[in-house]
Amino acid sequence: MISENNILQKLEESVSSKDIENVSLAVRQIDIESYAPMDILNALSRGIEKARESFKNGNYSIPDLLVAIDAYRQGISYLKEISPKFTSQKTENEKPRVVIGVVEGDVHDMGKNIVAAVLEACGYQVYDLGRNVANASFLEAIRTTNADILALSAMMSTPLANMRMLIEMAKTMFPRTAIIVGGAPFDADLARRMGADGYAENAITAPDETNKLLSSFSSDKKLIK
Amino acid sequence: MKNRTVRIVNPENFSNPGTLLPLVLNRIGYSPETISKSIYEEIKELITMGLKTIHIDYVEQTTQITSWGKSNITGKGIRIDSNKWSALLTHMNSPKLLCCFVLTLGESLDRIIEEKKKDSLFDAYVLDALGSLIAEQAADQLGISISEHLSVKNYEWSHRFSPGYCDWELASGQMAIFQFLKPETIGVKSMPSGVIIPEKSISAVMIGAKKVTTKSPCLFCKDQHCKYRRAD
Repeated sequence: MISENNILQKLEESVSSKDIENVSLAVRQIDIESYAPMDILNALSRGIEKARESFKNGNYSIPDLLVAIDAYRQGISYLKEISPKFTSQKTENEKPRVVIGVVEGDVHDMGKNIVAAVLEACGYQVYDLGRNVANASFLEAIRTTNADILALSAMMSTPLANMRMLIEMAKTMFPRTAIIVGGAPFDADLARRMGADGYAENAITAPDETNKLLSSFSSDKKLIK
Repeated sequence: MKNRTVRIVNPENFSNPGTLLPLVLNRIGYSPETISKSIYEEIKELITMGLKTIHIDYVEQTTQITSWGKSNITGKGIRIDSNKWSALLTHMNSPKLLCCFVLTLGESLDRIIEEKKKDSLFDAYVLDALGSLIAEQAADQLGISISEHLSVKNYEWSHRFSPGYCDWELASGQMAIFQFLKPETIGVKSMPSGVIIPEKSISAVMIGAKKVTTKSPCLFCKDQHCKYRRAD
C-alpha cells in the first residue's frame, strides 16, 4: 500500500501536471476508509492551485489549466462514485457559497464555465445557474443558498442595463452577499460604476478576487478602489 | 433573396484538420513547438470530430442604397443606424450597394460543445475556438465570393461589419438584418438582446461603391483605445 502522504502527493501532482490518466490511477489506489474527505479534496485542490500558479508564471496556457481542471473533476467524480461520505453535507457546509451565471440576454458561457470550475476546485461551493439567467432566478438562488458571493458574467454590452438593475436589487435584498462581475465589456472602472464589489479580470484570477471579497466583506470594505 | 450552400473559395481551409491545426493552436494559446504530443493529437482528433458536425449555410441579399445621412444608411428594405458607418460613405466614390448576409455553421457543433462542457472543459474550449475560427473564415470567404460575383465585380467594398460594431447598436441592428433577410429559413434566430443562435453564426453588411478609399471608419474614429481598431 502506498503511504498516505505519497498517494495524496501523487494525486496533487497528477492534477497540477495535467495527467488525467494518473489521477484516475491515484484515486483508485486510495483507501477511502482511511482518509478524511477533506484531505483528498485538499490534495486535488492543491494540484489546481499549482496549475494556477503555473499559469500566472506563464508556464501554462488556458487550455493547460483546463486539462488540469478536467483531471481534478475526474478525481472528484470517481471519489463521489465510490464513497457516499465524500459528499457529506458537513463538508459542503464549510465551504463559501457562490451563485454564478451568465446574465439574461447572453448565452456566451465558456468563461463562466471556467470560472465556476476553478472556484469549485479552489474550495467554493458553486451553484451554477447556467446562461441567459433571469434576474429573479439569481435573486432566488441567493436566498435559497444563502450565497456569500454572486458572480455575474456577460460577454456583451446589451444586457448591462438589466445587469445593473440586478446588482441594485441584490444589494438591497442581500447586503451581505458580495457581487463580482466579469466578461468582455468589463474593466475595474465599469464594474465599480455598475455597483459591483469586485471584478474578475480573467477566470484564473477569479478565486483571488473572491477570496479578497470574502475578507473585505467581513470588514465592510469595498474591494474596488 | 438567395439561399444556397456556400461556394467556398478555398474549401481546403474548412476540411483539412492539418491546415486548421496551427490556426486553432494559435487561437487557444498553444505553440506548435512546445505543445506535448498527446495534447497535439487530442486537439487534432477534436478538430476532425468538429469538422464532421459543421454544415455551412447562408442567406444573402444585395440591395441599392437609396439614401444616407449623418446617422444612417438606407437601402431598399434595410436601414443601418450608425453615425460612423454613415460617415464612411463620404470617403467613397458613388456608394451604391448594401450587401447583407447571415452565415451559420449549424446547430450540431453548438450541441457537441454543450455536451463537452459537462465532461471536459478542454474539449469544449478547443471546439469553441474551432467554431469561431471557421465561422470567421467562412464569412471572409463569403465576402470575397459575393464581391467577385459578376453583377457587382466592378465595385469596391468596405470591410464587413456587424451589429454591435462601432456605434451600430446590437439588438436593433440584428433586428434590421433579420427583418430584411429572414435567416430563420436557415435555422438562425435572434434573441431580443441581439445574440444569434446557433452561436457560430455571423450576420454582416458590406458597402459597395465605385471607389473605396478607406474600408472602415477607424481612420476617422476618435476612439484610439478601441480594441477592434483596424489599420485600413
